Amino acid sequence: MKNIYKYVIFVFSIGFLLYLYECNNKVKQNWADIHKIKIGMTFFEVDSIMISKPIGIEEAYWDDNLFVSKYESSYAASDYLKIIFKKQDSLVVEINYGD
Amino acid sequence: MAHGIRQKINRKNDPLKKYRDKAISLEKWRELYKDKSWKEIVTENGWKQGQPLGPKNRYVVNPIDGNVMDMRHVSIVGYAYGESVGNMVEHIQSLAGQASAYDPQDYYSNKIGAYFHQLRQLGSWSTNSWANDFGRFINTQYRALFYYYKSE
Repeated sequence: MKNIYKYVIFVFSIGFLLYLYECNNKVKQNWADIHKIKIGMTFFEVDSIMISKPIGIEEAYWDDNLFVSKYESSYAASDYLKIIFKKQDSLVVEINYGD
Repeated sequence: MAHGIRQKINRKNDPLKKYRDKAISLEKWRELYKDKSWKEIVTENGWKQGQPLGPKNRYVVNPIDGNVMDMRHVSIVGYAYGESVGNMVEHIQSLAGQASAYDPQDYYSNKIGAYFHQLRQLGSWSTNSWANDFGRFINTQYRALFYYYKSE
């Protein structure tokens, strides 16, 4: 019986480590991708560069004319990676690197 | 005129004035959060890897000197964890290659949070509104505590 518990814990630990590894890869990919984004790009250009899908898109709290696309960032970052677009023409106006 | 332009340039380069375009006044911030508990304030923007992301209105202009306070650092890092942990976070950010490591605005906001925490522990000083207490702290204590504060 004890062996079954050991086996379950072992499988769970391996699964958890794989999950962490996958998350880290995603973060690295986002970090590399966001540095290819330039001010003035369209939403569709950004979508084709960012391999991971945004974890959320919301209106900017400081300006009703903008919307923010959020991507997963590293564990040490204060915030998500954010690409800010103008609503009117969906062009990038600002890029935040997890400050 | 030259003086005015120089002032504008200084304001632009001052690390403690960063994100002024996204910041709101202390009075407005206080009004928005006066009826919320500390927990509601720090979790308003959700969670990221087990850590609360702070209030949605993250940047507040200090009415005393016009510096911008990062309320995520004030309310979570400085207020809940303390300045030493805040300093450690900056080192970890640097090790992780985060561009925002050693940001003077983070240190400044952490210090405000840590001082506010110390004062709020005096039972007679605190009320049941975290935001109101914070506004009172800035308006009455900040000038004396941060008179000699240098960001570098």
